[in-house]
Amino acid sequence: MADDNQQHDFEGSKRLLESEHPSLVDRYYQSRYLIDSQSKKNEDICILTHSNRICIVTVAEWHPLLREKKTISQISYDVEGVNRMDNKISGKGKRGAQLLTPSSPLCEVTCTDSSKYIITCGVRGQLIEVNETLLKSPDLLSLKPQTEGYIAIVLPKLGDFEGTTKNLLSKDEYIKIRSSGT
Amino acid sequence: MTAVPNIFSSDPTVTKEIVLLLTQDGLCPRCVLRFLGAGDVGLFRATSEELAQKVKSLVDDQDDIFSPLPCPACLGILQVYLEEGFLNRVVEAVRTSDHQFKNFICSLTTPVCSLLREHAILLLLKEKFKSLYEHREVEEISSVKDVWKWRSGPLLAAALDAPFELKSKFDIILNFTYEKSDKECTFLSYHSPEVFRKRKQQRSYGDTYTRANVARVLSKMTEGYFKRNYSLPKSNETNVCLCEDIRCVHDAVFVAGRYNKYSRTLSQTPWILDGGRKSESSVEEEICGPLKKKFLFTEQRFSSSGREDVDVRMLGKGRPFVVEMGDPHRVRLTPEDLAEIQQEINKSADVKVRDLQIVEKNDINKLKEGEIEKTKTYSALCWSKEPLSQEQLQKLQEVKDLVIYQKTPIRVLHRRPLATRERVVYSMSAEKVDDLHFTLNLLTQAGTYIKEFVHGDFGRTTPNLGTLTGVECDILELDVQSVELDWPPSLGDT
Repeated sequence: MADDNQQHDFEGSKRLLESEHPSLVDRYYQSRYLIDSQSKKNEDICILTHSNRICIVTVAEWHPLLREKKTISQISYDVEGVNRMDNKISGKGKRGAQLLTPSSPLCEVTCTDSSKYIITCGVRGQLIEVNETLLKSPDLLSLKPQTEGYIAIVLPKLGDFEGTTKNLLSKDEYIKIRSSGT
Repeated sequence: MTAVPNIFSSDPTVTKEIVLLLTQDGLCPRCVLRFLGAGDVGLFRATSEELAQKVKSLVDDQDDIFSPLPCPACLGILQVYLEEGFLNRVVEAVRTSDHQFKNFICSLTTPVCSLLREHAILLLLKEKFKSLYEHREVEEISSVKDVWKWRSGPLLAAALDAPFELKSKFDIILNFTYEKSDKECTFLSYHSPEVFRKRKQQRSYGDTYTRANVARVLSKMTEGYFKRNYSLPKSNETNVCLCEDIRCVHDAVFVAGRYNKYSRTLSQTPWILDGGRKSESSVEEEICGPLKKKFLFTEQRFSSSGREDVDVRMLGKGRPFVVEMGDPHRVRLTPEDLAEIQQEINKSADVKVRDLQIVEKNDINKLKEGEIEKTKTYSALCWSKEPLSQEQLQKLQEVKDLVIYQKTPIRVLHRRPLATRERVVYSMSAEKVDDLHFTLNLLTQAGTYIKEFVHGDFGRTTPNLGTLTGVECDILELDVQSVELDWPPSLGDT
């Protein structure tokens, strides 16, 4: 009766094994970019967007923090009078979430050379969570900016996803701009 | 000596007065008998003419005591709707609906204002015949629904050649409506406005005044208030119910089994987004298609003990599922019929089913038991950024009862609440496939997100395979090997 394929179907997997491995980010997320956030030169942020409209705010490689290989001493989510750690949401509808706009400050990063940077949101939506692991391990931001070192997760309202992401640059556009040396 | 046994009054003179009072208000023979206190099923089996005679005999055979107009108590339900013409309509409706059934019941919905009518008539009787009716409750009066069924039950049973059975699974639903019902009830909302608060969205016509809340208010209202604000509407040709809706429904039948899914592009349930299909078919449709051809149901509800993603195969003995088939038009199916349906389903390359059998409604709980308590085993094809040594793979084997904390995966975070779930990975084993690939077998608690355990989901599942091996890992393919639930009972299918 039922032909149980208990083993992995290696005929189908063979292709997978032989091809180059696209990362988790490559497979499920689109990278979109915001240049010179808050008109601060080179302070680019990279927003990873999932097909379900969730946005993960990360620091782009071009940002001085990463480009100049700074050592981060601490990250604080208490910034410009708002404490992102106070964000308490409940239910599927994420009631109680702090509402963010593209210019909303998410965190303040302090480096060992005393320089400070404020990372802003880049999109409009509800704040779902901030990456609390960065509090204890701020170096994760420099080590894995696109994965474990993410800053925050934001959920744009249903219907607003297109609107709030249309001004972000696609990866190709971004590469063009940044590689032309500006 | 009364022609009617077991009524409230034992004095023929008083009985006569009651009958004259009620017929003056236009009540029909059956309603007169009801309010006299009659409750014998046998009595109410008689024809309208016979009952009219019986009542006339209580008033010394006076003629013309009965009005030709609709009765204000039953609004015609015990008059025209007990005549041959209407009963033939019912029989016709049942034949047209083409249901298979071995017995039947009838459910009637009557207009809500009939509560007011019954109440008014009883109050009138309490006032005029205090000693007899003072302590009578409305429950002591035979209901319109019961009297209707007592008369029509045997007639319909003969015409349909099937018995009238109280516990029947086949229901002939008669909906009697009266358009002035709500208007008659409005005075109640002045008395108790908080009970009849209009909701933001009125779900359906007649939602404000329900039998439940009208009955509740009547029990709180004083007799004086009621009498001042309500009087029994005068009989009139148009003051009669309509029965435009005769619907036949058979109770749902439940079928259970276990399914295997061999496709990595098939969703479990129909996947429709923005008006278009995302997956051509679904496990649910592959199973319900052949079922529908034999059971002829109108609605289906597919439940299973957990779910797998579109790109995940379900191997081993399969996942337990139950299909609730709503209003099946065919119900006399044998195990052989089910075996045929199973064969039909198994023609599909993507879905296979075993142990297909009819189960009881309560058995669905067994399905959900598995979701929380039971364990699941998986097989995952994984990738690592750097080659893992034999020692590293061996170390995974030594992991026992590992507690992991999983924040709601990002891929479902848009439709699930944010939470951290504690889960247990009971055991693992790994086999190298090549330098950067290995097969990981796991036994975990139900509800564990395997993909996130492998790639870490941005560090939001900890510990994860990456933290355990010290190397970034990812998952290429996942198979569910087994769902440990001993239900439904095995039928010995190979």
